[in-house]
Amino acid sequence: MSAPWALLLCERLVAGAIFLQALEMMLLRSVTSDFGVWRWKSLQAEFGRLGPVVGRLLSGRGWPFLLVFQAVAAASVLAGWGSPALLVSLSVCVLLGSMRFLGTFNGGSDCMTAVVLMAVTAVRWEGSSDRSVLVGLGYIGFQLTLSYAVAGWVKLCESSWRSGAALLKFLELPQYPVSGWVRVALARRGVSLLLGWLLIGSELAISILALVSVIRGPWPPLGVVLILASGLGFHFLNAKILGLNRFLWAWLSAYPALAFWLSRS
Amino acid sequence: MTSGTTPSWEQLYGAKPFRWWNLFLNPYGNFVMAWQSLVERLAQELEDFEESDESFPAGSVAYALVLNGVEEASQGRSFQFRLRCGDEVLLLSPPSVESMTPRRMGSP
Repeated sequence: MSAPWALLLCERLVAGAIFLQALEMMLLRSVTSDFGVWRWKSLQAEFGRLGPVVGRLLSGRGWPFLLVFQAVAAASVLAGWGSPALLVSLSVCVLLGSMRFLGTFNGGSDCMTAVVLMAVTAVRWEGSSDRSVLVGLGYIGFQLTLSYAVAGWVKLCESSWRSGAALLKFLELPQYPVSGWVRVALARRGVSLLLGWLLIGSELAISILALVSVIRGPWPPLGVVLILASGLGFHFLNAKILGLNRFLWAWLSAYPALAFWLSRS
Repeated sequence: MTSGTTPSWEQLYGAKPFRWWNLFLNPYGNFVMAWQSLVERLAQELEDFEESDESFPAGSVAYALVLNGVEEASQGRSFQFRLRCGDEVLLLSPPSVESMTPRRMGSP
């Protein structure tokens, strides 16, 4: 995969992820209305010092327009009509959206969306020179690898994760729509222990395999396909079992960068 | 809930079963996760707060937002809510007196 092609894929995929996020927020308009959880009246104190323009954009009246703009801009980039100025506008929308919910709406997925979008925007703004494309893909690939490495390492250091108990507890949290048969299966100590280690192993394996390709050279095409497919399978299961659909699309948008670095000769 | 008896605690905003289209759009599921993040932020503020801070919790944005969520779910009825971590109750709100039927709600 060539570097410009990998960056183009990152751009289109992150635009698709942002388009879906904007649609979700439109469907959730009641939570930002004057009677919703995140009503502007309660948030005003937090954002007052950012000035009247930001205030108007994030208020109950401005927010729906911002979402429509975000959806239209993301669809334009997805369709291939993206310009550096449009990408900058989209970045501003994504950052404002994350801020409005006191940090992030959905934690890591918003962070990964911002990482990919900012990197693509910076490269396009610079003029997409060969060097900047490589730096952009390097940044995205590094952040993606780091996300797996940190998650895997933290779990490896925790005895509750190594014993499988933490996984069981995690899946019992009320915000995750874990189906009954998964809970029953995980209640068996052997299953939770095995799945706990599978999780730690797969998170660390992706980062180690990426590091190996930097040190020892590219993986053969079949190896690259297997690494990417196992990573995507992991995110698909996360979406299916835990309802983390945003993570699937956000991480998918960073995968072309990983594919590029794994196969680069 | 019967008049004259103490109603039991209700879990606020629990997850719903995942459908195939939720792979693309999962508004309610993501709302529940954002709500949980908000509750965790309030729990963190409760852990960090110093007793000399008289503006807490009334001055806390996280508290105001959690209160909005409880109010919205109560649909105009009076309510009381608590924030619990394991067996430890981190916060117990005063009961509201807005209407006739009390409703009690709790976080996990």
